[in-house]
Amino acid sequence: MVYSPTLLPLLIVAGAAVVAFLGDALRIGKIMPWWGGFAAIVAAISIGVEKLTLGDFLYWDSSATLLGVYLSLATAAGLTFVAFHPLPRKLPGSFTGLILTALTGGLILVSGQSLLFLFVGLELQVMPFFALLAWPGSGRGALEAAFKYALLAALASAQFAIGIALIYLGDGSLAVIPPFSGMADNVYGLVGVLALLAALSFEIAAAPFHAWVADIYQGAPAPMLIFLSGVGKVAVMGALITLVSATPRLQIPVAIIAAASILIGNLLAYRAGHLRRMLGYSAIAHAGYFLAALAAGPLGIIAASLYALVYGIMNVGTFMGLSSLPESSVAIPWAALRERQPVLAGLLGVTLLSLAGMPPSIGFFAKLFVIIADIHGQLLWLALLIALGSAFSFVYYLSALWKPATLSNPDRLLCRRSWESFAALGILILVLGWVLVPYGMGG
Amino acid sequence: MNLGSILILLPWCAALWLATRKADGQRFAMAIALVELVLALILRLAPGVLHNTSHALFIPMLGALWTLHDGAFGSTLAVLTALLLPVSMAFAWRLSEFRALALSALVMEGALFGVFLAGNVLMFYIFYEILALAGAFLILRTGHKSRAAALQFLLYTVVGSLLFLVALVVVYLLHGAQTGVYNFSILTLSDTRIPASAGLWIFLGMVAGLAVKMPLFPLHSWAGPSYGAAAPAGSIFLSGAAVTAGAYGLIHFAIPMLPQAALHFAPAGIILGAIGTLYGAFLALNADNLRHFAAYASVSHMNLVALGLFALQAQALYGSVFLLIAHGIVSAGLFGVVAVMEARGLTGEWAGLGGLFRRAPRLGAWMLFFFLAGMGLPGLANFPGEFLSLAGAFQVLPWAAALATLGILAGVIYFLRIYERVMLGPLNSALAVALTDLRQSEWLLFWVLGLLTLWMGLDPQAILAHLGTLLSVHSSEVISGGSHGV
Repeated sequence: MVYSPTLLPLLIVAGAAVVAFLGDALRIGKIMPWWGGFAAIVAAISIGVEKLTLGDFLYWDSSATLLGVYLSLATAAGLTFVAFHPLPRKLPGSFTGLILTALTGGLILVSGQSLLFLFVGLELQVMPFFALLAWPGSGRGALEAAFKYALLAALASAQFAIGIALIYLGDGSLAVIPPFSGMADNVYGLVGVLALLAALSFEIAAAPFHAWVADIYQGAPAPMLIFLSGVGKVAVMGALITLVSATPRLQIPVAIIAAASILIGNLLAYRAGHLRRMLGYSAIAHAGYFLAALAAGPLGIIAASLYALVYGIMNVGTFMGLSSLPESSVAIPWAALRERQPVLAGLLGVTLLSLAGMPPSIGFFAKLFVIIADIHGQLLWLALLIALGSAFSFVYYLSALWKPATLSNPDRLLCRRSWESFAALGILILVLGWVLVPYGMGG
Repeated sequence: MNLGSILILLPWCAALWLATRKADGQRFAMAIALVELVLALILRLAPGVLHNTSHALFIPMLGALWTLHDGAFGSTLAVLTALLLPVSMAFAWRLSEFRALALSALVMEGALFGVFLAGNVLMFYIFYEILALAGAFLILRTGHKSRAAALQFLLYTVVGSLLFLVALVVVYLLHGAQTGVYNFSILTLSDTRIPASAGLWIFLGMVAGLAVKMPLFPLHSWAGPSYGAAAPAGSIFLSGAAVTAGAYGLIHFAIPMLPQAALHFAPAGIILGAIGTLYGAFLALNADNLRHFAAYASVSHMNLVALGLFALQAQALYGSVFLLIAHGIVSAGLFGVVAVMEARGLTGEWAGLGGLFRRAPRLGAWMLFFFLAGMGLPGLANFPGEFLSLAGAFQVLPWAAALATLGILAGVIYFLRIYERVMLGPLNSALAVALTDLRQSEWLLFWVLGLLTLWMGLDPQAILAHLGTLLSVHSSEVISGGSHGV
C-alpha cells in the first residue's frame, strides 16, 4: 500500500507502540506510559490536521475525527493516570505497547471504509484487551474475565468474518460506502450486513448480545476497564456509525436492538446489587441509547457520535474513580474515599449522576440530543422509552451514590495525590463540557 | 453579571463553600439567606431590573441556554421562596443535621430562582431537575433519613419531568419545522401552531411533569412519606417553596403554549383537583402522626390550587395563585409547630400527646392560630385564595367545586379534631414534666409568620393587584372563547 496522509495518525500510534514494546528490554519501561501518552496526543493533533481528508480506505469524516481525537486523548489520559497505579509496574513498556496497539485498532475502526480494514481494526483492538485483562498480578477473577472476553470476542470476530464473506458473495465488493445501499433484494448481502451488526452489537454489549458484560466488568481490574469501556467500546460505536449511516435499511433492526437493550439493561442493572455488575448492566442500557440515536437517520448520526463521545468520557471518569477502590468492593465506601481523595470522590459522584442523565452534566445533553433526533425521526416510542429508561436508571445510580458502605481497612484505598488533578479535570469536563459543544460542532 | 444571575448562583456558591467546611455554619448560611431575601425583594419591588435580559451559553440547535426574564408572578414567588429559607433555617438552628439541611435548601433556593427567572424551557427543565435532586437529598439526610422516601420522591419527579421534556422536544421540533427557528425560548415556542390531536397529548406530558410537583391528586402519593420523612424544618421549604415550581410552570408556559389543549383538559383537571382536596382532607383526618397530618393538609390545599388553576377563569386563577402563596406561609407555620414540638422530644405520635396546652400555652396559641388559618378562617391568609378559587370554579363546573367545598368543610373537622387531640383534653401522663414553652427566638419567628398570615388575610389586594397578567393575551383570548372567561 502506498503511503497516504490519512494513515499518519495510525503510523504515529503504531510506531510508538513498537518503541514501547522495546522499552522493557532497554530498561526504560518506567517512562513508557508517558511516552505513550505523548504519542497519543500527537496522534490526536494529526487527526485534527487530517480532518475531512479521504484516503484509500480511511476517511476522517466529522464523526470519525471527533471520535478519533477523543480516543487518542482518552488513551493519553488513561495511560498517564494508570502510570501511578501498581498494576502495570511489572512490564510498563509492554503494557503501554498493548494499549497503543488497541488504540491503533480503535482509530481504524472509527475511520475505516473497507470491511477488511474494519476487521483488522477489530482484531487489533480485541487481542490486546485479552492480554490486558489477564495482566499478571490482577487475580483469578480477572483471568476468568479475560477468558470469557476472549471466547466471546472470538465468536464476534468470526461472525464479522462471515458477514464480510456473505457481503462479498452478494456484490463482490468490500468497500463500505457505495454497495450497501444498493442491496435491496440481495439476500446474501442483507444477511451479511445483519451479521456485521450482530458482531458489533456483541462488542458494545447491546441486548440480546449482552450476556458477557457484567462478568467482565466485575472481574476485570478497574484501570483496564478505563480502556475497555472508555476507548474500546467507543471505537466500536464509531464503526457502527459508519456501517449504519451507509446502510439506511439497518435502521429498523437497530431500533429493535436499541429498545431491547434499554429495557433489559435497566431491569438487570436494577436487580444487580453489586456496584461493578450494575455498571456493566447499565452499559447495556447506554448501548441502547446510542443505538436509539443511530436508528433516527441523518440527525441521529450526529446525536450518536455525540453520545458515543459522552459515553466514553463518562466511563473513563467512572473507572478512574473506581481505580482507587479495592477490586472486590461491592459498593463505594464514600466516607473513607472522601477523607482520603475528596476530588476523586467528587468525580465518582458526578459521573454517576452524569450516567443517570442529570442536568446540567454532559450525560443529560447527550440524551437530550438523542431524544431530539428520535422525535425528529418519527420514533416517538423510542424517545419515550429513553425517557422512561433514564428516569428508571436514577434508582440504581442513586442507590450506588447513597448506599452507606464502610471499608474495614481504609488503608486498602489506593491514594495518589496526582489523581486529584485528573479528577478535577474530569469534573470540569463532565459538568461544563457542553460549553465546548459550539466549538466542536464546527467540524 | 446581573441581579438574576447573582440570585441563582449566590446560594449555590454558598452551598459549595458550606460543603467543603467541617463546621455547621449556621450564621453563614443565615446571612446568605437574608441577602437573598433582600435581593429577591429588590427584584420584586423594582421591576425591570432585569430589563436587559442576558443571553449566554449559546448551544447550536438548542439556542441560548442562560436567558433570564422577570415577571411579576415569578418574582412574587421568588420572594416567597427567599422568605421561607431563613424561616426553615431558623427552625432547624439547633438540629444536628443543620448543615445537610442548609446545604440542600440553598441548592433548592438557587434552583427555584432559576425556575422563576428562566426565559427558556430548557433552562426551566434543568433547574427543575436540580430542584428534585436537592429535595431528595434533603429527605435523605434529615429527619428519618429514609432512603425509600427520598427515592420515591425523586422517581415521581424524574419520571414526570422526563415526560415533560419529551413533550417540550415535540413542541420544539414542531416549531422548528414550521419556522426554521430551533430554540427553546418561551416566547418563540408559544406561537407554535400545534395540531389539536397532538396538543392534548403534549399537554398531558407537561401536566405529568409539572402537576406531580404540586402534587395533583393521582400523583400525590410521594408527598406523605416525603414530608413525613424529612425534618419538619426542611418540610417547610419542601412543601411551601418547592411545590410552587410546578404551578408556576403550568401557569407560565404550559397553558399559554397550549391554550386549546388546556381547555380540553380543564374539566379533568378541575375534577382531579376536587377529588384531591377531599381525599387529602380524609388522609389528614386519618393521619397517624402530626407530620403526616401537616403533609396531607398541605396536599389538600395544593389540590385546591390545582382546581382553581385548571378552572381557567380569571377569578379562580388569581385565587389559586394567592392560595399558593398563602399556603406557603401557613404550611411553614404548621410544620414550624411540628418542628418546635420535635425539638422538645415529642415525636408527634398521637399516643404521646394530649393536654399540651397546659404545659405550653404559647405554643398552643400559635398552633391554634395556624390551624385556624389552615381552615380558611376569614381574615387569615388562606381565606381569600380559597374563596376566589371556589367562586371561579363554581362558574365553570359547579358540582366539582361543590365537592371541593366539602373538602374544605372536612378541613374544619380535621383541624379541630387534631387540635383537640394534641392540645386539649386531660394531660397525657407520658409528657415530660419539664416541658419548656416557646423560646424567645421561636416565639418571634411565629410572630413574623403570624403577622404575614394576618396581613395577607386582611389586605389580599396588596398581592393580588401586583400579580400582573398571568396568562398571555393570545391564550386568554382562546380560553375565553371556550366559555371560561379569563
